[in-house]
Amino acid sequence: MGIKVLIPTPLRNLTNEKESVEVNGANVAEVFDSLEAQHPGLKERLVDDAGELRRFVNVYVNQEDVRFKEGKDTVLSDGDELSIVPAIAGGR
Amino acid sequence: MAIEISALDIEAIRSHGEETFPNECCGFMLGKANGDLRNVAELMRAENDREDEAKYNRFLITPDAFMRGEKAAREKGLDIIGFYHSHPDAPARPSKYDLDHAWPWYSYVIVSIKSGEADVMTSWVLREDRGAFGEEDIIELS
Amino acid sequence: MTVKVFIPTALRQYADNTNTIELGGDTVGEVLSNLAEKFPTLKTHLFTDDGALRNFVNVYVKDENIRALNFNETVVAEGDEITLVPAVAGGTGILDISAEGVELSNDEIERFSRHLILPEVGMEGQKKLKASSVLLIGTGGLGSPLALYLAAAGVGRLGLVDFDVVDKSNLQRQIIHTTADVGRPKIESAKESILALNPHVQVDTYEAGFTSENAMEIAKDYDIIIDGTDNFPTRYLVNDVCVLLKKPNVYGSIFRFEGQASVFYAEKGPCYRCLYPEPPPPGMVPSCAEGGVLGILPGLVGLIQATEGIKILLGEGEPLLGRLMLINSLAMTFRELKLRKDPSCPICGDNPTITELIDYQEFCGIPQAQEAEAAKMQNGTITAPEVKARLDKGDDFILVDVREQHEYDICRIEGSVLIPLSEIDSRLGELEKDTDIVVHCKMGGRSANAQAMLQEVGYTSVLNMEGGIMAWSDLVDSSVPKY
Repeated sequence: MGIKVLIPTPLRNLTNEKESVEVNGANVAEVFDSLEAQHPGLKERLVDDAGELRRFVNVYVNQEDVRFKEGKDTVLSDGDELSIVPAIAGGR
Repeated sequence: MAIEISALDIEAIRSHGEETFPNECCGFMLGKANGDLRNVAELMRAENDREDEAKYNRFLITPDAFMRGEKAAREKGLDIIGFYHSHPDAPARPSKYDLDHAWPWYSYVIVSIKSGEADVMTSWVLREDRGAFGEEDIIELS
Repeated sequence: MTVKVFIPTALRQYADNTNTIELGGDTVGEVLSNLAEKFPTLKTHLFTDDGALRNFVNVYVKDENIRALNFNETVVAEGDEITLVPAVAGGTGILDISAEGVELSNDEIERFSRHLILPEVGMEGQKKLKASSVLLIGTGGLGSPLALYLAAAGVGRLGLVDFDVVDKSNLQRQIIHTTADVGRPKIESAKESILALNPHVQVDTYEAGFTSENAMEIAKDYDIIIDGTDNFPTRYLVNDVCVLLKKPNVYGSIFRFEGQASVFYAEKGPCYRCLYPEPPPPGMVPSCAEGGVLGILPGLVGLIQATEGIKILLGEGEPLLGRLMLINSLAMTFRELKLRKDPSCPICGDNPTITELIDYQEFCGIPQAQEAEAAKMQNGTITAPEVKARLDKGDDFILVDVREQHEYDICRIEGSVLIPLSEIDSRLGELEKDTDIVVHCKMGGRSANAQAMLQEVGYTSVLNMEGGIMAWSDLVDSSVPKY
């Protein structure tokens, strides 16, 4: 499955400043593994040691929050867009 | 202006609003109009066709559903004389949005649902100049 | 062809009170124009002035909507039944501001004339705005455009909470303050700008931080709360206050070139904790002071917040509730994601565990992070004047600047070597293990991390320059610009 992953600014230092990355994966967890293979260090920002999504990062498949689907087991289809949306704060 | 509704139908509108809370419910009122007096013979529930995220404060009866309502009314020798809908945690009076989308002539019955429990019920008819709604009396028939 | 046209009850009064009319015509368009000719008053209800079918009227031929067929060109057959079908919609705003008893002066009518001629605002809407109140937390980047536009639009009462003073580096984006205001309390300067724009606004100022102690008392009398501070402790505090007081919370946040905006209102949809139950650990997300921000961006995002605020007060349009707007100013794209109410949300879910305000600094890990920071500072520090003295003496040591190249371009200390923090790992070869090293950055935080990294891999003599190059500018050489 070809999945386009949209990388938010705070994580782009791990993707050579790329805004989006194309990876393969049949579900969200597989996409994270492919991301980690291409850009080491990215996965630990998204999931904890047990592999669960961190509580200050949300992952969307197209427009839907995966927490309200099957979480990291959410099945993906070719051409899906995965958005990583972290909690952000800019300060005053 | 006044609208006659049976106690049974009044209860049905209230419980429909409680069922769909915190979303809005909506439905048709079928019956007969006689000058300024309307009489509700029966109710027909309608699906709220707004997208899920908007149902908490919006209702929409699609033209297709309206067609079905009209057909049902005609088969029974009745007319659509108005619509009912609920206002979850908001007062039972027409909103600006209701006014913008209102049709003349029809009765608009609104029931306020406060924290899941049906509260005040009112009925309204759009004034000729479209500028505001006028309230009509609800006459409860036993 | 002769077809039957069925008239809905609402329109029969304009058609001799009949429910079906037999009319001739080969297409829907012909039938409708024959109908309009027969009943001129009905025509105005069905068609716009330029002859198009009104969009809340649908026409069905038998069971098919002509919008799915060939519109007015749809061909009809003998005996077909044409039905005019009204679309029926309604609903409430998410707030219900009462304009009862509010009057507008002639001066206000003139001021708001461009609003008054919009049917969606009109006298009723403008009176609602005058009757309403908005609490703004912070008068900085987001708060500036928010306060100015809400005041200009005629919101009757604005509350401003801020304890900060205007700094020169604020002026790049905090347009409510001017160069002459540098050094003044922000709420004073903001109040002045608001009243200069619209003297009819009641401005109530609170020169304080927004804290668990004062938040409920300050917020309880306002219709809407808008957080313009854009930091995690205040964001969770504002969220919880709004959930507990049942008030809408208009959210906006910015980072470098990107922003987020939404409306949180637990009574009708999700709250911020439904979106993010917990904040990231401090340091994971750099602040504006470290990460920078495009000065225009808070204007863009602040005005999305202001627009949502005005819409909610008026009860017009579709609020950004249950939707997260992602703004990218470089690509200039606006994306929208769906937000849902989380049944397990700790404050607005089915079994809330948070029932009163908590310690938000603690919750966001701020004191813990400060302790860790302080601990790092114990690893050996040196003051800027001491570094200057060692340089002047010609001591044998290397001064390493761990900032980024673009910061180095702004200002530097003569004799320093630039090795950005992110490159230290790969450039260790440039540093002998036993040389004396002094590291510095802008303010001392990143260099403390660099110091720890170096010590971990075996460097024995690494000192961190306290307060970074900003302290150097203050204490050693004022010709070095501060940024």
